[in-house]
Amino acid sequence: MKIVTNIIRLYHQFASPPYFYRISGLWLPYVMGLCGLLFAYGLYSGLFLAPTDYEQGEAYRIIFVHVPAAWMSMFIYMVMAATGVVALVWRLKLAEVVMISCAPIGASFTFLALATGSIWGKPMWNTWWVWDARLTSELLLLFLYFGVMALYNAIEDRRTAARAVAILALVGVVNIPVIHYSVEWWNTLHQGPTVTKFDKPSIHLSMLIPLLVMAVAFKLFFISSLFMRVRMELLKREKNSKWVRDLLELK
Amino acid sequence: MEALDFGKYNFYIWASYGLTLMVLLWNIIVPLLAKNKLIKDIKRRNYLNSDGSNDTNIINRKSK
Amino acid sequence: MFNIWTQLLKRDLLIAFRRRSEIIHPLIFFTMVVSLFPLAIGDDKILLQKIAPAVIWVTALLATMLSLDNLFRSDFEDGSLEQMTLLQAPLSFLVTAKITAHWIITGLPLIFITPVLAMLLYLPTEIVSTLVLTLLVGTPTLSLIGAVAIALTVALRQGGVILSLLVLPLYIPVLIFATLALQNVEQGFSAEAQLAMMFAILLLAVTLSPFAIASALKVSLN
Repeated sequence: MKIVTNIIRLYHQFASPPYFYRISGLWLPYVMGLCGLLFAYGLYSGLFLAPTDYEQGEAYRIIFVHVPAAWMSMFIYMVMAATGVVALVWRLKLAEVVMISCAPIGASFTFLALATGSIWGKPMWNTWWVWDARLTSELLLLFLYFGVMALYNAIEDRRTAARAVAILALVGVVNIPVIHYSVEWWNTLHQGPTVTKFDKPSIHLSMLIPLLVMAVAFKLFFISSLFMRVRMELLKREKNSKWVRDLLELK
Repeated sequence: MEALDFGKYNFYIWASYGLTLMVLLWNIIVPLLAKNKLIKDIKRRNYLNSDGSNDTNIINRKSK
Repeated sequence: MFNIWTQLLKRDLLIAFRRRSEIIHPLIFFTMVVSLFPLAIGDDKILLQKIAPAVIWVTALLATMLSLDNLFRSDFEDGSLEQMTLLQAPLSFLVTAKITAHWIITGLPLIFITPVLAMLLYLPTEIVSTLVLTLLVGTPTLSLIGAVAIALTVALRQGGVILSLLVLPLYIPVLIFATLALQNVEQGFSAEAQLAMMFAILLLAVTLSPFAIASALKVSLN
């Protein structure tokens, strides 16, 4: 019985804005520091240590930013949808703020994935764009992010807006498996799966390691940026509450 | 710095990494600026009531 | 419960037949926009034949999108929507009645007039049958997906602009499969796979979207 009350206490604690503000403030410098270190190592090993590719020459090095950006675009959407479910079912204000803070970050990574992919495509496949399944569904993801941001800004009451956006995000979740499996289901110009196959990935270790390091660095970056946005939004929403006034030392 | 020269792919690689840097910076600068602006705004609006209190509840105020 | 469903369907159909413009306007829009293309391109039979399926499908998308407003707005404004949430039957079940009425009012007439418009674009008759089939499977999906978007935006002042931003990305898969089916038929292959996929999307929409629509309506109502 004591365990249940402790769990409930923890749940209430995590969901409280001042607690989140304090804890995220404590963690943020370390997350950003680790992120910076991983970026430094990832960039160094990706740009200089990893060997030149046999088929693609030096241009393949774009993979170290393109693939993590694409992974993040999908990951962030899933985080947004998951916190949307929490916001809809449990009506937690913190979940609503986290959900809507994910959207601009996810949109920027989706844009980055599309842009770096396009830049990579020109020297390699001699085209800036092709309407194959993966690129089309990734572009659709960008439109979904825009729709989420537009709908949120169009509704005046922030809590109603968050609920509406949560529903929209859930409807768009269907797109994520489409993006992921598009290279298996259709004949696309885009490369097939090489890392997330269940047997041994068909990419060499010396290229895989920088890629994974960059992926983790991007994830830590997402957490940093998310925390910054969430903290700002919490301050804005609760600016009249005691904890904010104490924090800013207003008498 | 020949290590920074990637041959004919120079433009493409640096364009990609440059774009990445811009996106990352945007994701840091925008929240940071917004937060500073918000704190300044809250502090600016922190005017005091006539009796020196800062409570904004004007309906149930007990008269002094 | 089914009694309420049928009564709601009959009510919506009756209202639509009294306001014939709800039925006629999307149809006229459809016809006019499709006619714009041969006027703009000139009488190039081969080119028109090539773009005909795409033109008809995109215009059907736009016409459906424009007609979505009729689905919930008048009920929202006079309070009937709120009354519907208070009925004994679950709202998710009842919205399917409204969407069925909407499809009968907008989707079906589109499908009936398509062969005529296909003739305007010189589309050969073998392809017209597949075109009608894709529309038959696709337009209910469009109504269902569109209903989610209009349910989210019905309470907004600038709802119309946001509606297009929300609904068109969700319509894209339907459009892609429909036009793929027609391209296959044009090249002489069978369109079975794409039609099966469109039917699968329809089934997914029918089973899942009523819940999303009901939640969205409840969000819009407060």
